[in-house]
Amino acid sequence: MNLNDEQRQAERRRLAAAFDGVLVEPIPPRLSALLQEPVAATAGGTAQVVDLASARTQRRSMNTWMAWGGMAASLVLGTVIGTRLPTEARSDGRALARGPLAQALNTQLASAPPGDVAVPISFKAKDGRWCRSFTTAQNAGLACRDADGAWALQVLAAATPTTGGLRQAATALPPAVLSAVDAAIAGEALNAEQEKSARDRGWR
Amino acid sequence: MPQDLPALRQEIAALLPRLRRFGRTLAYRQEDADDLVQIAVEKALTRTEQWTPGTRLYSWMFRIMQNAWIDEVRARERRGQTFLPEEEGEQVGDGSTSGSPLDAVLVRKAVAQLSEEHRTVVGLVLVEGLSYQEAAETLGVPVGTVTSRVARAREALQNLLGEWP
Repeated sequence: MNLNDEQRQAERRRLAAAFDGVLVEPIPPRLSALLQEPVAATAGGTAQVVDLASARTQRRSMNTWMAWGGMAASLVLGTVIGTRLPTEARSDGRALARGPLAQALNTQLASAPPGDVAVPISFKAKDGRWCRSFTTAQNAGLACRDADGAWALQVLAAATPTTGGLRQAATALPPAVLSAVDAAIAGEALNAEQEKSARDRGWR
Repeated sequence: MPQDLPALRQEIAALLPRLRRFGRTLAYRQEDADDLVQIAVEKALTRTEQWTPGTRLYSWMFRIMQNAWIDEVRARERRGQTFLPEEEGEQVGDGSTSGSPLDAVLVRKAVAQLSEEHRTVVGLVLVEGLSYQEAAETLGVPVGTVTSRVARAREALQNLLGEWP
């Protein structure tokens, strides 16, 4: 079947909207753990291969709505402005903030009223980059501004559950993000005045 | 010959978001998709000697996932289980909601109703963006086979979803 360019773009857009949400979801710990731990951590040094059925019985069951909740929230966030998702996985290995998330990182202050995104802690990193932690309803993470002006995600974790509802950013940073902040920060976090001044100078 | 395991682990870890996305095109349910990623990563780590450094890691990982998936589908068929969404057979819509979260669900359901062969090429070519040549190498089939599968998969998707708007 031959599609014209417009149809191809529509096809790509629809499939991206259907499947790209997973790219910005937090990686389940059971998957990242497989690759973080040294081989010696497993007795005998061989990973245990399981089949789907037994893997499933090892976890508490999750209903479909809960399972898709993270994706739905990503899509909601992504559709606030246009249909773009808030991050983009790049071939150079960087995951960049996009759309409303990038906008919040560029302009929003920690003192902003709760919304889709909150930006609680900003600081200068040891490597000289400006870094900002953020939370959404589902995710929390740390992004640092690269020389090309893009906000590169350093860590992304599931947000600490909040009672604010699907659309409202979580209030607390999860431990994984706090450790990333601790590891990267040079000196102290910015106070309100320093944050505003750095924002006004475009985080340069 | 032993590979540089820490480096390979890091590279696979960086691929996890894409592996999970490919998993979701193969398996409709999120937990099935992540189980599939887990199995593929475990298998990859036990046979790192089969990985040729300098070749495309994602292609190798996708192949392991796809093979693991076929094994699982056959096992499920033997057990009489199904992977299709619960609301199998319902009308999946006319495309008027393109781009919305609702449409995303419709598109995923439509993809879930494709045959295994069609779903695989949709995942590799249309979602993961592999070239026909890369997809053919990943699947170990001729490029012409991929070309015709993609064309038929597109046709099947359009029948389920209506014309791309």
